[in-house]
Amino acid sequence: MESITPGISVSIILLLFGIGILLTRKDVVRSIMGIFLIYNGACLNFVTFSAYVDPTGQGQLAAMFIFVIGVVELIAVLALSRRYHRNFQKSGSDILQISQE
Amino acid sequence: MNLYEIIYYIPIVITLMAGFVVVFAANDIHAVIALFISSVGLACHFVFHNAEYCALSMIVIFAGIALTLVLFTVTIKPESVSRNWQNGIRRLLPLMAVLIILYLLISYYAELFIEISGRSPGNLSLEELSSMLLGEYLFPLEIAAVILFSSIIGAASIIRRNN
Repeated sequence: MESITPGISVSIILLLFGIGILLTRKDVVRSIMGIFLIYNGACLNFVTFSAYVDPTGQGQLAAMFIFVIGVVELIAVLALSRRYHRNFQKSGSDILQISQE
Repeated sequence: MNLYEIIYYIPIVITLMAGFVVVFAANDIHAVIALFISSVGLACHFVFHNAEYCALSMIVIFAGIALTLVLFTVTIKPESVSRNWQNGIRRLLPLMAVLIILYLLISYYAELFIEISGRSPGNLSLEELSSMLLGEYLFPLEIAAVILFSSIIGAASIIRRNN
């Protein structure tokens, strides 16, 4: 169990899940979920390398900063989507669809 | 495969299954709950890598994110919530309870599992973590706080503007 292979494998699979959601779903809520899956994979990478390669704990701190960035992104996207919904009386899920037209 | 390896792989499998549900679920509420389950499974995985505080903060933050996304989905996109969404939640709740109990057990016996695995503990204590945050990483911490605060102010101003 000394290997970093499980952590790296799970992080790669989470990254692929997130990219799959971002490519297939044109929906604000699902896009946020995909981005958070990618963030989870990145955090797992940092924590795994922090545990096995660099035991000084810097990877854990980087993972905590990733959480902050994720919350900031969530706040911004939800506020913009709510504003769009109020102005155009459409669901916030239409933003990405309209931006592609 | 010994007991440690079995317990080591259970959160990984649950994380990947929940991620699969996030990708393919038709209902947004189910996808949000699956995202939370995936995060709790990942937090269990963090405990095995000596990152207990990271795991705790991940559970707290993702609980808030899941609640926010559920509220947003219900208020903005009511058409995406099917009528029988409560049945799906009833199916997912036992899995969530089992996972949280597993997380508590793993956290409680973390030292034992690390001992069984033969690794040196090398655990980062709360004192070391906080001294790193408030010493070497004080400037990035302040930058993160300023970014978070400005995003909250910006979101409030975006929503309250009336023109």
